[in-house]
Amino acid sequence: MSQNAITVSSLNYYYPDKKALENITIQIPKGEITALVGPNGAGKSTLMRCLAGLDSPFSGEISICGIDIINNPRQGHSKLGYLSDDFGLYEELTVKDVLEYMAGCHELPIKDSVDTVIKRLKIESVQDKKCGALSRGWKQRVGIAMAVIHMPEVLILDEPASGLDPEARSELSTILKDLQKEGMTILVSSHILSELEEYSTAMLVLRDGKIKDHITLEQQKALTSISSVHIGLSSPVTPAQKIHLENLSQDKKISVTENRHTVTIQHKNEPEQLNILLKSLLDENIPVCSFTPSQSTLQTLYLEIAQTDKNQDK
Amino acid sequence: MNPEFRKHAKLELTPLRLLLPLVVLLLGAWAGWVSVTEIGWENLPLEHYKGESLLYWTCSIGFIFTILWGTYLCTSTITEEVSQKSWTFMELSPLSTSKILFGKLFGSTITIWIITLFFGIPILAFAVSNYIPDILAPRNENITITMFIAGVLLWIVATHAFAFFTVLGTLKLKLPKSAALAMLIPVIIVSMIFGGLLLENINDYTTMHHKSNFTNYNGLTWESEVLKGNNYEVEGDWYRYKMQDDNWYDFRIPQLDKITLLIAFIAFWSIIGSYRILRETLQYKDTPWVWFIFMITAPLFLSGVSNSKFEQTIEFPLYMMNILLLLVCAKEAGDIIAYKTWIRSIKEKSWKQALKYTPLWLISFMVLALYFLFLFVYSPLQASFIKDGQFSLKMIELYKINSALIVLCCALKDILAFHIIFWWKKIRRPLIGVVVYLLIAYVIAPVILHTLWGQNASFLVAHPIFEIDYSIKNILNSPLLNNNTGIINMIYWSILGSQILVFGFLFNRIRKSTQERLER
Repeated sequence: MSQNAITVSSLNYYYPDKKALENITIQIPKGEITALVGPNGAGKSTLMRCLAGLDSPFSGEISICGIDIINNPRQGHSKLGYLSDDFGLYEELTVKDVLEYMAGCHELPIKDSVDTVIKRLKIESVQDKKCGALSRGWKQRVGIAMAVIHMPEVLILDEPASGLDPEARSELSTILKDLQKEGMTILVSSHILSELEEYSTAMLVLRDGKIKDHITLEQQKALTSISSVHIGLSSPVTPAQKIHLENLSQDKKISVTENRHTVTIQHKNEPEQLNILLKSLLDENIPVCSFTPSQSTLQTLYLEIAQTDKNQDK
Repeated sequence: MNPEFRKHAKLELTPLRLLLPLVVLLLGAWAGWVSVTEIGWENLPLEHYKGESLLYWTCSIGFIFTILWGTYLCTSTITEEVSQKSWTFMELSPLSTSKILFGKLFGSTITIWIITLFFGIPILAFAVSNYIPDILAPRNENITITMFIAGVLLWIVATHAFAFFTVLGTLKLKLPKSAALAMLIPVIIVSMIFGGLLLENINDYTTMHHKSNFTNYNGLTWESEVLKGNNYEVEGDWYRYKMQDDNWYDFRIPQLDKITLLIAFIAFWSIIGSYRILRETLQYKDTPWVWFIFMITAPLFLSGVSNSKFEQTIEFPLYMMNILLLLVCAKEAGDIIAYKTWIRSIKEKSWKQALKYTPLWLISFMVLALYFLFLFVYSPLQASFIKDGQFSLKMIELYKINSALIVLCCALKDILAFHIIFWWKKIRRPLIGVVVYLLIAYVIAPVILHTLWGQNASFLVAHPIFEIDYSIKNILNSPLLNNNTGIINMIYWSILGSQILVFGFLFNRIRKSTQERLER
């Protein structure tokens, strides 16, 4: 039995005037939350629609939990849930009605499955309201509830956080982590990389219809083990202190602000190592007044990949 | 219960939507029945006139609710789902295509069906049973009523399914909602025609120009003469019993049954068409055997409606095959990716895949070509010997082969033209381009030639020629030409041939640039 929930090989998708996806090959292991990131027009939504069996690619193969989604799209839908970025609900129906509809479509015991998903998504308070009367945040929850009512093995979410307020985003993050704990494999695209960081365990970078990078959490950790530490000084840094700081920096370089009151060095970002660094600074009587380790983020990582890619293009 | 049906029932079935049309229908029926208080000059029982009035009132109100409102409901269920973006949920459900189709078709129109089945149909049956005077009934009255009711029900199903098919088609072509709704106008017009035919036929069953002294007039009686469908003029009045049998090919069939059968045929294929196009929307890719069967059965069935042998073998089948070919060609010509997939499948010798992506216009063209071959072989068998023992084809048989070949060449020319229009990047609205092309080729150019050079010259732009009167000999009697049949023939085929060559050349140029564009 394959350990991959999603397997894509040599996928090509054409629009009449351009190649939207070119030779995409990816494997997403079961239980991962993978962030699909890329600039506008990179092909994220197209890739997701192909994975959901809503668009037929020109060539290539897509397997969702072992089901050939291109040749058996409807069969594949029992294994996956999908929510598009601009989805809409049946405005005139109540939340319970739409969930009953989806439960019926999946031939589930209606009452049990509706009650379960209402509890799981914590939408008890709106279950009897008409969908048209809900806020964007609640609609998003109901949309996810519709997509996961049949407990799919794979959940694909296209820009789920767009238009949500910070509170709703935070709740979305919690929902996704809960679903992952239940064993769901989630592929989620977003422009807001900081929020993806909260829950994603891997990142897939798509640019111009091609996969540029696929980084797992472990690789990401290794890449982000070195971070910048901003050290605020109560008096300007002296040349002797500067030499000492350079020796402490991983790359033996430091950057100093114009007023010489802030120094940035590269250092391992593990808590013990940072503690040793701080002690060393104090032992050397460096007048530290602030100490801010800044961890390398998904965003910085993505921007680095994008920059490398741009340089290669040049 | 089918969840798609239940969803639509919940959306549509409200007390107001149920009660309003019901009240209007009952009021209309009541008004129709009580408004008639006197018998007509035909001197038939009062119930006959009351039944007639009730029938027309019910049909008029029924037309507004079942056809106008019903068509709107079953199409807006698609357009609204698409515009409010809930369509994807339906696409993502593992529901079978037939369940979705049934749920949408009958769920969205549930109020109409409840009122029709429980109130409309009993009223209609009552109206017709009164409308048909007992003394005239040529066959069991119940059979006639059943046939009429079946016709009405099939007519509603056919209209809704045809509208559903049309809107799904516009959706596939990514046309706007306004275009989808505009497409309903021809659907409703076609529906009105068939509804009118149904009414006319039930009317034919009952209308009787009757005088009480008709019995035994000049020795004629109902039993002996009138029931045979004969017409009589007596003292300036026509006495006629119009209920006549008709032909479907050589089979005798009552007119009402014939129109009901025709509506059933349309309903069947509208449902099959909706089913197939819905499957396509749900990303199923099927082999085109249904289209192949439709291409054969539709001309075969519908040609039988005509009473003319020539129309049955030439005009009806050729016209229909050509129109169907052009319709699917207009739908498919712009789908470059499908062509690319098709060619790739052929190159990879993936025959099943290649069959699935085979353009339907190609299937249609092959059926047309097969029909030409059939005529080419069959028509000479109808040849006759002339007196001196020389073998000779009848002119009409030669003309059949000629007509089929012209249609085949015109189809080829139009296929090339459609692809040029769709693949030429400068044409932003290719569908409008296709309409303009057809107008120029088959309306404007013939009219200009007609004006300039005479009656038959218009056909020289390679217009398909069907009328026997426009045989080669007649065409060439145009002032443009002399009476030399050989020259005319040569000019005709030169024009058609050169059009095909020019379009072929242009198509090849555009094909190359399109391929390059796609490879980039």
